Amino acid sequence: MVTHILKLIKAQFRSNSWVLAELLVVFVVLWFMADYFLMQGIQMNRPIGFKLDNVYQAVVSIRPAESPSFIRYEEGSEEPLHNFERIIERIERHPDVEVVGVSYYSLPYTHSNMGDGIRRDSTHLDVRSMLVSPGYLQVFGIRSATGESSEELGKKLPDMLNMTDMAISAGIAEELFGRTDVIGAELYGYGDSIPRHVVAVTEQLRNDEYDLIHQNTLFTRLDLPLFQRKMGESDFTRIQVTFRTRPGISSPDYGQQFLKEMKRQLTAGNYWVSDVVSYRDIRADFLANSKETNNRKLFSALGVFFLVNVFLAVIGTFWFRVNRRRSELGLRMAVGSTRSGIQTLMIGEGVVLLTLAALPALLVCANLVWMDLLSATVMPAGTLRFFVVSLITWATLALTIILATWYPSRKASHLEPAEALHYE
Amino acid sequence: MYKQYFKQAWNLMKQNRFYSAVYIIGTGLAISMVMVMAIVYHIRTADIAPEVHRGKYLYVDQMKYERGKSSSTFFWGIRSAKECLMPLKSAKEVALMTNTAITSMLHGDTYVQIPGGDDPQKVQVMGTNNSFWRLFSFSFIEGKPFSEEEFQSGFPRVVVSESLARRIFSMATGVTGKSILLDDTEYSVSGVVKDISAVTPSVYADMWMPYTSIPLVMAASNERDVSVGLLTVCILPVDGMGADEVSLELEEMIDRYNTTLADGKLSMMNGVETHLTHVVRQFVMGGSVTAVYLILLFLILLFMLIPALNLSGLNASRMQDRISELGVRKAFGARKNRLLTQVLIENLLLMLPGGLVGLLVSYGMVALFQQLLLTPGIIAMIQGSVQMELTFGMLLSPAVFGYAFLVCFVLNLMSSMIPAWRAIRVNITESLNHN
Repeated sequence: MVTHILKLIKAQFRSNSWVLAELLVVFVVLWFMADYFLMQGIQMNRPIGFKLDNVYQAVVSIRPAESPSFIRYEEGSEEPLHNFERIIERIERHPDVEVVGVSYYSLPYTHSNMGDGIRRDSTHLDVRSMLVSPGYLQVFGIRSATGESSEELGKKLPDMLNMTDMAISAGIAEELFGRTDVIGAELYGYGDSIPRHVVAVTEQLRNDEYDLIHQNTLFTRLDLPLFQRKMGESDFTRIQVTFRTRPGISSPDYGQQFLKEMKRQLTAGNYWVSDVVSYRDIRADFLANSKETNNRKLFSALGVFFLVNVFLAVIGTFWFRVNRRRSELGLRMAVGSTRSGIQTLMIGEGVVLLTLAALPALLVCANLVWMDLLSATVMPAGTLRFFVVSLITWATLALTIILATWYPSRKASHLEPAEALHYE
Repeated sequence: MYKQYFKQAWNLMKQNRFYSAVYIIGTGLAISMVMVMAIVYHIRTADIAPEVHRGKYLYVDQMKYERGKSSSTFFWGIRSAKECLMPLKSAKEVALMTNTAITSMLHGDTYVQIPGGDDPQKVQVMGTNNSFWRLFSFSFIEGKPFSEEEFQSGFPRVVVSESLARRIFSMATGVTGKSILLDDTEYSVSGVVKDISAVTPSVYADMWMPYTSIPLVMAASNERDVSVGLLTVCILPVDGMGADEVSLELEEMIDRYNTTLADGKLSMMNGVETHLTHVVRQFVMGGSVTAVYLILLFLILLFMLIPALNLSGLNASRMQDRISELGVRKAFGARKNRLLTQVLIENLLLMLPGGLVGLLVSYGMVALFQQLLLTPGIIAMIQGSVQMELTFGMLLSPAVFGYAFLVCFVLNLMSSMIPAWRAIRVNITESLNHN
């Protein structure tokens, strides 16, 4: 049957040439889009490490120094530290709250972070540095590389009082040691002469769904009294307070309820909690405004645009074709073609046409892949990827073409043979 | 004669309804994508209040302060702005304003409430100078901008937007002269303006006040902080002058400024930018502006090419049906050029309803994707969703209709020329024999 269809296509090459040209261009464009969507899909479904259910962030603000109600403390006073600790304590005491964590520029789903570097022997690695309290690991449910719960992991953090102890993410251990059971191993910071000790290895972590496979993360303990000695009062507002509520306690506007209920208590000295936001919302906001989401929306709109174009081109061309070939179709019926046979023949023509266009298009794609135009951040460009993406592209277009040929071909198959032969 | 073409086109349209529907949808689709780009271009670059002279505005965004090996890149500082920008002779007006997004990112959010109130509201605050009100045309519901003297002395006066006045005072008029607490500092309201849409990001805020009254801005004291800081600038050049003249004078001013510095050096990162470049740069966030133009050009080509191929296919099919008709016309002496013109005009007429459909679709798409299309990336990243009001004035403008017609015309040429020419070239006897 395919050879027969090929002959038919060759016979009407003129009117097919436009559709063929369009299919060729669209195939190449859609091929790259299919690749993009596939890669993004794979990447987004990889684990993040941070568990966000029941997690809230309390935003601590400070009264400006010009304000009349601003309380002035002596230089070096520990009162600001105590005020900040009071707020944390009061959140902790709330019956709904399971655990509170504090951190410094160390939250997922943000654009602000601190970079650092570590080395082992001569291997250097750039890492994201996180300053966290033990509670932080529990708030975000971060497990160890071997699957220990976050409570157990958190218990190891108090040992990290001196700055030379740290926890590292599994990715760092893999890259520097080739294994993850490296507790007690020694690593150096950039420019360090004293080694640091690994006290725990966490599971792999990513800042967000669009982040690469893993973000190499290094945890050091955030010690508030030490922070106080180095920083001023207003710097405390950069400390991030997060907490997890007990299971079962959650409602869409729990954050606002919590804030309303606790408003008075959550003021201490010059600090006050200005907002309590659900981490699910922070995530949704971050993702909705990220460049990748915008790209995805844009590509989806473009993809639909191209598919509708193909649909229109095919439906239009086949419509004329049916009109012009009435006599031929009538003859076919007269010599015994069934109605469904005619319909299959016309739909088959569309699909074979697509396959004809796909062959040179794939050649173009393969060349572009060979020229390294494909992003290899999610996975390297290989034969399997090429094959899967080609199949997806072909299937999407084939579906569009089958839909487009369906109506004209149905019309063709419902011709009355006697009437159709009339045209001969 | 043209009336005849019109009649014929109309009859053809009625005769083959299915084809006409496909053709109109195809055109509409083709137009809509390019039109989305045209509308976005229009909204971002046409004179839209309060940015009423976008064609002339010049911007100098990022400034670099180098000292030894360290360098910091930021906007203008209070001293550099005062000494380099304000005295510019080639500038008619120089508006200075704080960058709201960066300010709130670096220094935290600002809250406002009425004295004695208990419900602080998060607001976007913009510190400006006095020229700001002359360069941009705000529509005052009541009151007036703060005065030159108030700006010079750093007087706590503030202009608020209508919606903010409603949020705080629960009324939009009769609030001039009242006090509000901005992070616990008392300001008095000097006027109320109509809300600003985020499609004019240079001036978008909830309230505007003299930047001299903002401690955060004025606190700068060391050489680096007074040279680079939070102030962005928009310049309206003197009539007859443009980016080149302003750029030349500004370079001179900066050189002179540098001689007064102890050991630092101030320079412009991207030079003096026109409004268009400025807008593109906001969207690309550090990427190359030329690359963006190339990508846009490629997209426009692709958007036109695919539908053109599509419509060409339809035209080719239809022309085959009409070969015998054209043969008859030729047999009676019609010239090829005449026939070609007729086919092109017929197709253009068929395309116009398509263009209208496309325009409507593109308005819908702009409304649907406004955050994506109109919010500059950096603002979206920092502030999340912003208030983006689109008015009819922005959308229903002669320029937009002009773009739409132009696109129809080009697309028509692209999609009808070859099929029509091929059909007309067919030999008379052959075409008369056709079917």
